[in-house]
Amino acid sequence: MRGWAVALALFASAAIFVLEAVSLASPFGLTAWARGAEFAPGSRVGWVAYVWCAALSCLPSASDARPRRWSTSSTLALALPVFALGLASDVRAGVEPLRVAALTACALATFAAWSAALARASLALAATVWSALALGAPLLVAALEWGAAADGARAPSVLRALSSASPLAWCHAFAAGTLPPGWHAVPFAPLAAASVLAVLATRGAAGSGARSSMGNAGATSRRHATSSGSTEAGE
Amino acid sequence: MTALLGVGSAALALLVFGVARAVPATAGESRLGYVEVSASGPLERATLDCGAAGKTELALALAAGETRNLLVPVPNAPGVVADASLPNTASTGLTVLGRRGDDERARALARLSVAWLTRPAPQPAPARGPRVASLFFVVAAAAFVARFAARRALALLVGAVGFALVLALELAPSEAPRSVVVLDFTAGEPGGLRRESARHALELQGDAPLSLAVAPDDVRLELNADARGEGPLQVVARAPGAVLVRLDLLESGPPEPTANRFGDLADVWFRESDGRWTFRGDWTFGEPLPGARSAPPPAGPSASAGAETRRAEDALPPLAGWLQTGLPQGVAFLIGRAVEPLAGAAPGEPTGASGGALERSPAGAAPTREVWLRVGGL
Repeated sequence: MRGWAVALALFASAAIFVLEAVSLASPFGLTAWARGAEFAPGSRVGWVAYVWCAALSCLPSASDARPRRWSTSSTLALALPVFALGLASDVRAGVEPLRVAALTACALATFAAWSAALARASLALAATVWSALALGAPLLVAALEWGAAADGARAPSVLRALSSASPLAWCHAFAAGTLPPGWHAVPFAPLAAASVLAVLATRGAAGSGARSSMGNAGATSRRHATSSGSTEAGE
Repeated sequence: MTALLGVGSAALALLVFGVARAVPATAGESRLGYVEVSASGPLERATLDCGAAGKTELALALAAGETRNLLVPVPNAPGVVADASLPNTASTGLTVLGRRGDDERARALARLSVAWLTRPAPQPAPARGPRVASLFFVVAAAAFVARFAARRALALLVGAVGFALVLALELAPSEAPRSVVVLDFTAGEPGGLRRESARHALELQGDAPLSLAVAPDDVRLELNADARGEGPLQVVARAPGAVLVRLDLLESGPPEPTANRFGDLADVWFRESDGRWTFRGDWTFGEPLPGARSAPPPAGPSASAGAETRRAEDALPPLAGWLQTGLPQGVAFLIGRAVEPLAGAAPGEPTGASGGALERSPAGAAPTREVWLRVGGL
């Protein structure tokens, strides 16, 4: 399942550049995919990051007992060359190279942090956090702001702050070219959210491990008492 | 299933954006406006936000207590003839005093002959997509990583090598010039028109341009203005995905066929008033216009003469379509390409300086501009 998702992410992100190459080489068009027609504003590497972060929703959790072939590092390794294509495409398009390089590094860091945190969390925790924070908050903000159909409609600030912690929301802003300038573009909130999730997952795993060891100890003492009792009874 | 939904929704979003943003590439009004700002130090950087039209990033070097008034270019909203809106700025120390009309430039633009304005604008080199070799490396790296996914360190190493290889291939220096310039003249009329066109970004060095058009005209325009020196503002206009066309007036008159005052021209084509094209080869500085390299076919209404004309024109070195389409009929035209590589031909330079105005760039340097000369009515 995870292999299929990774393959789909690779296909979808690479398709952006294959279509770009075909549209520029073809005399007949597909011009919607060419830079001249600008099928999407902003950054190509942002779109690649968006696709790969969307693929995070399929990461296996710690409850997955099978040996994991696609770890965070191997998934990242698969994504790296496609990120290079996006970075080069943005630089060719006249975007400031230092800025796009820094944002690419930020996108890779965000992807790796969320991937690692989700892999450590239990299935329930990972699903809850991803659904509520990464998907739910941005969708709720969009529903409130677009659904209001009024100019200047804004979702509550708490909700917008939660939405800013979503890696998907940050990647979409990167892709659409609406990230603020300078340090404000760095995805501090998504990185912090991934760190909190990793800590929670670690503590949860440690807690369940402790409970598990305590449970084993109780069972041993019970077994010991039972055997003593039986001995005593026998005696 | 969740994974398929996630990746599928991203692909769908790409497609929807693709259809929604498929706009025709048309150049409209000038997207350049001017505001006067008052800057008080200490101030090193400020942003003038013009909303959907774009923004201006202003670099300054003002010490504490220092004050300076500046005329700063800002992007105008597309499709608006006289944009009167003021940009927003969150920078303390920068106050927008108001819009400053560019009446002088508007009058100069209105005085221009329609024949000049309708001549085709220069077309920059077509946008280059990813190289086939890069796509091959991506596939090869993906196959290798998939094969050795369980060995994490090796997979990561291969991914990093693939990243570096693809980046090195994609960012290799291109032979194509960054911008294309065409200098338009009409014999017997004073002055000329200079048009410079570039994809994605254009340096607005020298005097303020007469106009700056962007195609497609609704693309967000970003201007980086450097006011740290003593001279005029150094401005770079950026519109990723768009073609920027800058228009300037030239004070010098057209060249005379008796003597080339513009510098060495590598290739010269000449269209007679009856529509026949001849290739004249190179035209060196100070020399009269050379004769045709190939004898023109005999003029006449016979079918064989027409075939001869077509054969003779087929034998000419190819001339880019944008240079000759839309030229008025019945008028002789000269089209010349300046010798490459070039570093000069900036606004105001091609005015007949001694030794040729089209300066050569240092040996081995990539050409920054491709310069064409187009003279009508010779």
